[in-house]
Amino acid sequence: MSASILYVEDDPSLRELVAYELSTDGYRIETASDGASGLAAASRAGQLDLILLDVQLPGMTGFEISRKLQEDPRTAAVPIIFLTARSTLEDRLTGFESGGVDYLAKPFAMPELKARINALLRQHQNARQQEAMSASGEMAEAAAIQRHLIERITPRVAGLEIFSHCRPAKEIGGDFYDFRLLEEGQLIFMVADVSGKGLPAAMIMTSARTALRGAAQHLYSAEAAMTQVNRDLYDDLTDVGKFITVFLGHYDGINQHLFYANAGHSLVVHCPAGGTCQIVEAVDPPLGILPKHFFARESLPLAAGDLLIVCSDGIFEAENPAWERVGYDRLLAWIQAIADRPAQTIGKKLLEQVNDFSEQWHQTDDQTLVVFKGVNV
Amino acid sequence: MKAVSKVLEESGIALLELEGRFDAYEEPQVRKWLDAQQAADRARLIIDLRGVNFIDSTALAALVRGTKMTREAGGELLLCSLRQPVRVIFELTRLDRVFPVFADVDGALAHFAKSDAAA
Repeated sequence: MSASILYVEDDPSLRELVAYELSTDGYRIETASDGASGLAAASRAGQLDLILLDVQLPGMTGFEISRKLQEDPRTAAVPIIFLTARSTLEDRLTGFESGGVDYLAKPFAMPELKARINALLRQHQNARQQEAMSASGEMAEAAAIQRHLIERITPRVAGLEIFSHCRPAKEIGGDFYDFRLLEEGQLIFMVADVSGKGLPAAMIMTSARTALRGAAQHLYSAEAAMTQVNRDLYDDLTDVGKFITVFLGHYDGINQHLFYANAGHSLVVHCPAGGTCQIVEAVDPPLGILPKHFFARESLPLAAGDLLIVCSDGIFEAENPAWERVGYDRLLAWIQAIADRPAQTIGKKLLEQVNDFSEQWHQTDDQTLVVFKGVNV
Repeated sequence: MKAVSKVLEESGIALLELEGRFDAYEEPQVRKWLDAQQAADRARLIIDLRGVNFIDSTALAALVRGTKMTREAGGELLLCSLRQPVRVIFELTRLDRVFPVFADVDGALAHFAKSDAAA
């Protein structure tokens, strides 16, 4: 894919000339005539490889623009070449201090500009490849570990059909779901979402998962487990500035009833057989918010024909290129339309609809979807 | 996202007005503002969300951190002017019961004034 360059220059004929020359060489050029529109273009751009900045601009100078670009994590790593009519030592030092990587005095020869652009792009690309190579080995291993921890053969419980799916936004993420089958047709399951994404969220996720699995197994009820784990994790979560939404359920297969605790998790939808789907609101806040909170015990029927869906916000916050989100209402309508189908059909169809809606736009958040359908025992 | 910071000189209350999408990319500047208030010993903070149309978990986590910081310093973080899509997210996560939320800045300021009077 060809490199993408942003060029900020107020002189229109110079702007057109350079833009023309560089685009004939195969670069993708976007131009702006002042700081404000330049910064706006930079924050809109998906991937910027280089920025050419005229220094003498009306309003914000090139140096000021460069400093602003350094403050934004999205653009801080993009190399900047200053183009300027002034080129004293003082100017050059200011240029480098404000984040520039190279400096070209006007009037400049086009071949020299092109040569410097080429050199910078090559260097930038090499650096990125190096980083990717050293990171990818470890990341690949971390991703494999997380996949192994999450991917479990969906358990068979009399009275329930289950569909489960989890796809992280980056290689690893902060979403997880887990099942544990107890004796006598009892199923414990949890769906959780650590705030944030990527590696930091995943690291918290692994300790949260261990704590939740242990507590759910040894403490009798979902709400007691939640209360205990909140206490255990509170200090760590405060230290790293994160919280975790959790839906922890205990399905009693004999009575086909679900007991659960919900720590601020959304979205949870329940459809009674043949009835209207409703959003099930949490009664408690997420883990890591209130240090000594007692979580509430809730329950819902999950008998033949009843449907329970628990998903993470990557599902209803999925966006299309027009910045529209799936949203709760649309998701609820999609669910209502197929609520009478088997769990596998519902799960696959919903994922398909989310993908179609987002038109393969980049996935910004981890996507987790778990579907429980009551069936005759 | 636009962020405008004001300090009300008389009361030492710091106000942050946000506009736009409050997500993982915009969170660092809010975090920096919270750190700056802590460094300046200002523990009574108001964040005005009237211009915010979207908020994600990273942004919420920043607000939670702000709440814990101000509480520890004997103050409070108040939120105001939540728009409908943001209010819904607060309700579903039940964070509406954790943050004091007001209809507008005046409401938030009145809350601080009341706690002054009670002290």
